[in-house]
Amino acid sequence: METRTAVAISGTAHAGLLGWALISGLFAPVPPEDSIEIAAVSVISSAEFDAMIAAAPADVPPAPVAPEAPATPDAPAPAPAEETPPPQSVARPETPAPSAPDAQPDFSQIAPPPQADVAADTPDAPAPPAAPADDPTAELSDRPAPRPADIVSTRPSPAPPPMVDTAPTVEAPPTPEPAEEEPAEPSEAPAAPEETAPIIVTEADTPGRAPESSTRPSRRPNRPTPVAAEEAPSEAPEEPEPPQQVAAAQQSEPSEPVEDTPAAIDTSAALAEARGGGTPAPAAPAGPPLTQGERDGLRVAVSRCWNVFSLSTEALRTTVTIYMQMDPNGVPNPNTLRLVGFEGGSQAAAQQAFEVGRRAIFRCGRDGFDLPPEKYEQWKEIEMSFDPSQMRLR
Amino acid sequence: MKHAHVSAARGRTVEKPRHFGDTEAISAKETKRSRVKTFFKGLCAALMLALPLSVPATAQDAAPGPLRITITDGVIEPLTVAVPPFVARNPAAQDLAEDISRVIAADLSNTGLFREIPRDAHISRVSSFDAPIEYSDWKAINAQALITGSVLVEPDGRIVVQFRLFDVFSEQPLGDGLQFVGTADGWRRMAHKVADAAYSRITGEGPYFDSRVVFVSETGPKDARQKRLAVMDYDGANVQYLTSSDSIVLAPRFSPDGTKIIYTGYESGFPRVTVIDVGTLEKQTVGGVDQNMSFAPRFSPDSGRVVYSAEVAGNTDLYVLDLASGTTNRLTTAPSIETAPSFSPDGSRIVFESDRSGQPQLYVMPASGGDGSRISYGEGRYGTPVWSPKGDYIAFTKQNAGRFHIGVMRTDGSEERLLTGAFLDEGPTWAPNGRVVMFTRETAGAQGAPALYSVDITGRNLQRAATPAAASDPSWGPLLQ
Repeated sequence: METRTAVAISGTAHAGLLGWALISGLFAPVPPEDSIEIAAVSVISSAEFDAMIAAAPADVPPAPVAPEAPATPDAPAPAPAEETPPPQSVARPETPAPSAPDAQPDFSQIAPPPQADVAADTPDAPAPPAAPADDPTAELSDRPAPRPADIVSTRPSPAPPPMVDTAPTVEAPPTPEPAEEEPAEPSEAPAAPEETAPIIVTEADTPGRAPESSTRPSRRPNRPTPVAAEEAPSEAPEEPEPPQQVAAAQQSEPSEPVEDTPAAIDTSAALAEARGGGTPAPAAPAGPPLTQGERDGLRVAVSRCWNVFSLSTEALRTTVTIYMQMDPNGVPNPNTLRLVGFEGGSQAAAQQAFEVGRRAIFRCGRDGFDLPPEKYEQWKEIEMSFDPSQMRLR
Repeated sequence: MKHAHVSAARGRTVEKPRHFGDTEAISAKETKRSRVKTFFKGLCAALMLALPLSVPATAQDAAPGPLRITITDGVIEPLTVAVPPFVARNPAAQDLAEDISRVIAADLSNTGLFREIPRDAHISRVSSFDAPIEYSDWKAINAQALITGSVLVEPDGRIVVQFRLFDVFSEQPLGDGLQFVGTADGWRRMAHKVADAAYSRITGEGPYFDSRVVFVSETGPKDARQKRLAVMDYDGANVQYLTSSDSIVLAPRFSPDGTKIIYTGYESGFPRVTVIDVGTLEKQTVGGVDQNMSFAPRFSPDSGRVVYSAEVAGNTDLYVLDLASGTTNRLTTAPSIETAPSFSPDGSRIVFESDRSGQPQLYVMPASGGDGSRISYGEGRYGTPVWSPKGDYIAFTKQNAGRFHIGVMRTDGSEERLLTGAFLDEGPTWAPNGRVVMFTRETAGAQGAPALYSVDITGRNLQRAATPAAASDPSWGPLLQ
């Protein structure tokens, strides 16, 4: 019983295996190998081959079936006359490999290059090989791209590239200028030199951290002054309604923390306006606020005369604020200058710092600061703070 | 098997909420984003609505307060000053007036803070001390300060010097006019006084022109150098010698009251701390026990005590000597070398040099003694500290990378700033106003010789002091009374 079962199992298994083998094609006949294509070959001479190359289109890979004579005798064929495949000689004209021309009679018809022109145009260029030089080279020496002029062939194929290569090399010599700029800036070590002069500049002076004078850009040029006290001065650069726009822009300027107070005033006025109160009605037309450039111009003008060298060490730690009234011509009124506040030092140091600041205002303002007259209401009173904290470190 | 099933079930129960949580989070994020969008939309709308309200208000309120400008950048250059010849009020004062005005101009120019405008550039001539100032003439030559004065020689030989200082561009005088009266042979001091007044009035710093410097005058070759104590005006004039060249003298120091000088002398063959009276030239050896070396003495601010270092049993420590009672107190007991002590101007602390850390560094301790706390932490070796008369800085000598430097630092060691650098710079001493430091600079080689130099504490205006011979070890005295 058991034997029968085993035989059944074995038989079933073997049958299954055979069936699988048959289905999967294990015993299928081996397909025949690919048939080898056989092409008919005919032996031609090199002259025939060259003629065939000359007749063939430049970019078309060879179809070496028709070795008939070329229909275009002027075609620019490099014709290195080798058994190498034709694309090689067409695609790489810069390596002409003028090997063994074999003195074929066809060369006299095919290549009549005007060598004299080439030599005149590119005197420094390496002489191109005699055989592959073609007539297009004469034009190519003038400009990098070949000009499809009176050449019969549809595309100027092989000859131009060597001249394209040589042309840049002729033009290359004018380019050594950048190289000459490189050997510059010898960085000297700021070591303290041995002094010989009676007045000696020490290393604290040499690096030039403290410039002799300010190097800020000069002030803005004067604008053509419009008629003063107009509602909307026409000098506003961008927008047709300048006062509002400029005021809003001015209000958003974060650069001048000291000038926040006017902004606060503006806010209160805005609140009053929002509550529906009457119009504040300013006493005089103020004109637009000063632009940042105009403020900087005033700041730079005073900075040029603010000489902190004679300040005492204590005065160098004292910030003073000076109030002044300005005449319409930009000159500070000398009778109005006064010290309105100071911080960081004693009264004596503040007085000394005030005198130095006052001297700066008068020295550089004696001819009038460059301030826009149409905005006189904006700058007829000025509070100028002199903060020497940055100068202390120089 | 059961356990595996449970774990798988647990895994599912864990996974499910996780996926659910993700979607919940995503939806929550989207909700939040949409809320933010809504908020910003509302904000933008509010701003758009508010803009027309606020802008006209701003424009209307354009009548502002003063325009406020802050100046933070300035220039650093000498202040131009004009010192026309002082007016001689009688013929006897003619030469003196010229000399005094020249000394004043030289004093101011030597500070480096001023630049004198040459006289041939002057437009105005000051012919009368009381005449009004033609400011426009001085503005034209860019004179920022103007000093005018007069000199009168009285019949008894006394001279009277008056002067005024003007701020040209402000067109007003700087302070009140002053008058000094003195003897004819003290005319230089009077000129220094005038220059001091002008300097202090313009800069705010204390005066220092009318002061003297004690130093060691050196003559002869390097291997047989002769050294004498000498005193001169701060500008090198009026040199006087206090000792002969028979014995070596070292490290003289002025007393803060200017009446005495203390130094280390070798009259006995051993270094001894000696005090010499400037007026009588009387000497007195103080401090130190026989056979012990004592050196680096310096007065206390009240001139009643002397702090110095002495080597006892091979150990060098600091001692303080009461000049009145002659009692000595030992201030340090460390096994290292402590030397070069210097009192703070209020007399409460002493800065000194010690090599307890392995190389010389600066320490500050109470005047009553103690270990002290180190204040110098830079590279190199620090020595010869001196406390500024103003109390704000400590000057020192620093040796680093083969060069010597004179530097200053805050009394807590911060803000260290090197003012010079050379082959050998050492021994700083402060001007009475604490703004200028004088020191010894020695050149290299067999022909090298020491000389005195001064430098502003900004590091600018390094100048060599005029001495008749080689000089070293300067000590700046107080302002003369």
